[in-house]
Amino acid sequence: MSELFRLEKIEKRYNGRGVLRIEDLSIDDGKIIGFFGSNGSGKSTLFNILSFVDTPTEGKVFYDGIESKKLSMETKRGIVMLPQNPYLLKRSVFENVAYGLKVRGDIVNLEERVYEALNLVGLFKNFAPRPWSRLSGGESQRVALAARLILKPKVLILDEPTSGVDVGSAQLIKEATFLAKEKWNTTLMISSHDHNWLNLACDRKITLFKGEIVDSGVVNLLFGPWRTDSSGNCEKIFADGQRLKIFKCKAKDSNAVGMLSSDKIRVYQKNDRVSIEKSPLSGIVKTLQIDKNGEHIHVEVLIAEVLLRTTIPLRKMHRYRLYPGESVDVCIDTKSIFWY
Amino acid sequence: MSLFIDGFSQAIELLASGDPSVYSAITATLTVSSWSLAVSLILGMPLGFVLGYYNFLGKQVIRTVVDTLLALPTVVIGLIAYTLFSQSGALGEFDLLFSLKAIAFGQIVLGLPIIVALTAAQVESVDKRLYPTLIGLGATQKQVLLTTLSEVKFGLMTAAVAAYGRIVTEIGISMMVGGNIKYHTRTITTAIALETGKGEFTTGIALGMVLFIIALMVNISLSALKRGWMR
Repeated sequence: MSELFRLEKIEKRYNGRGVLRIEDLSIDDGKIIGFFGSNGSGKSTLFNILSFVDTPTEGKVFYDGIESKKLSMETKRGIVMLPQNPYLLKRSVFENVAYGLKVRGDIVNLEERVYEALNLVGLFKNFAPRPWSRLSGGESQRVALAARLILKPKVLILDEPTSGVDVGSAQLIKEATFLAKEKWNTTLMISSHDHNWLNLACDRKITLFKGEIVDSGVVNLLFGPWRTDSSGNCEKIFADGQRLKIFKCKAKDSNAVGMLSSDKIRVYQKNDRVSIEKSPLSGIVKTLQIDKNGEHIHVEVLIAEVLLRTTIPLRKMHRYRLYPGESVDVCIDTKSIFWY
Repeated sequence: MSLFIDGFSQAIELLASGDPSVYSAITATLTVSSWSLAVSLILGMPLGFVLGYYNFLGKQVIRTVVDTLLALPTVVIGLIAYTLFSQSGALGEFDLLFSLKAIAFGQIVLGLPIIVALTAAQVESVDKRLYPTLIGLGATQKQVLLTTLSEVKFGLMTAAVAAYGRIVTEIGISMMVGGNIKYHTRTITTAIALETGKGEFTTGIALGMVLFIIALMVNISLSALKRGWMR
């Protein structure tokens, strides 16, 4: 699999304030990459840079081995982004979907191609004359996606494509996205708060936090307030009164955010011999989901109001005997918490 | 009140009779104002786009100057144009004084700040998501400009109507650099001034009504166009 993107020492600043800093990032051709991260973590900024909508303040972006400044317009047009809350032109659905082809001067069989693209997102021919102002949120999002799919992009970047849309539209968007991958081997980069979707679909996961890549996988965020004592230990008290104690805590202040990779969390059956020795927290299994390769199970465990994610190899599942709704012991490797 | 009623009936009579001097004034008014508006739009829209879209050093100063020019009296523009086109003026060699071209020049100076200021205001109010959307879909900078202007076309229409209203009703420029020459540079407004000066109030009112009808037709046409776009 060849390298498609390479980002070297990228920094993006707005009015002197740093919003993104990536030392080195490589993205392979033909993959589906999921981007995790809370709001303001830098995902949209990164997507703007990857789609050449914006340029980094410092650093270099290489696409297919060529530096971004030397790329032709034609090459750049192969990378298409669907932004979060996309804008629809004050025109008909047809004109919105056809816009990308028209700016390329590619208008052969335009009508047919517009209808085909609309079909991909579950909309029909009679929808095309409808004006932009008469669309629901979900319909707008699907029209915006159709406007990208019609371009048969080499790279499709989707920034929160299913946020704020109804369940039916979200499902159609997901299906259309993967149809693009199937039909044109499009490289997909997706950010979404729908972790289940990303876990199921992505070949690779990248987590961003405060503008930096913190992990190539699923990361748990532990928010404060943290109560510290004079010995340098700190603890988080959950809503149900359980306490997570961290010895020699490196939290900067009571509102610090602790970051923990999913493989540093273990779940055990209640009163398991191993877990008892580790002073576990008590949680409830919320979801179990198999990953894309069918090798791991993603487990979501709820401790009071906090949802933590961990991964268990499929071959070990029989030992754990986990079911949704079951009470479990949760052991957290507190020494591996990375503080922000 | 009877003056207006008489004026109205005389307006219809004047138009029906095909009075060549009236039709000459109407033709001159329509020709020169249409050209002035067209040039103001061609120059003003890209300038307004640049002023509204980009941030650059001195933008605020230019914005203030443009806004100030909105209040420039037509006689002052006429005076400046007269100075430029007179024999000893900077553009005297072109021999344009007392011609429709000279009136058009002055009217462009009058209309341009309106188009620039209102276009800039419209472009500034454009949804911030538009630019990344267009670039993300592969538009070039020129296509971004054209699409952005298309997105604010209703606002631009208002700007065009405002500019046209100011251009078609001005008198200072037409009088000073046009000279109010019958069958040549006499416009409706200079004709009204002349007729009123002669005590021919009803003729003045009749011409005023013609001017009103022109303005009305322009607005009706633009409203129809707007409805067509909204559909």
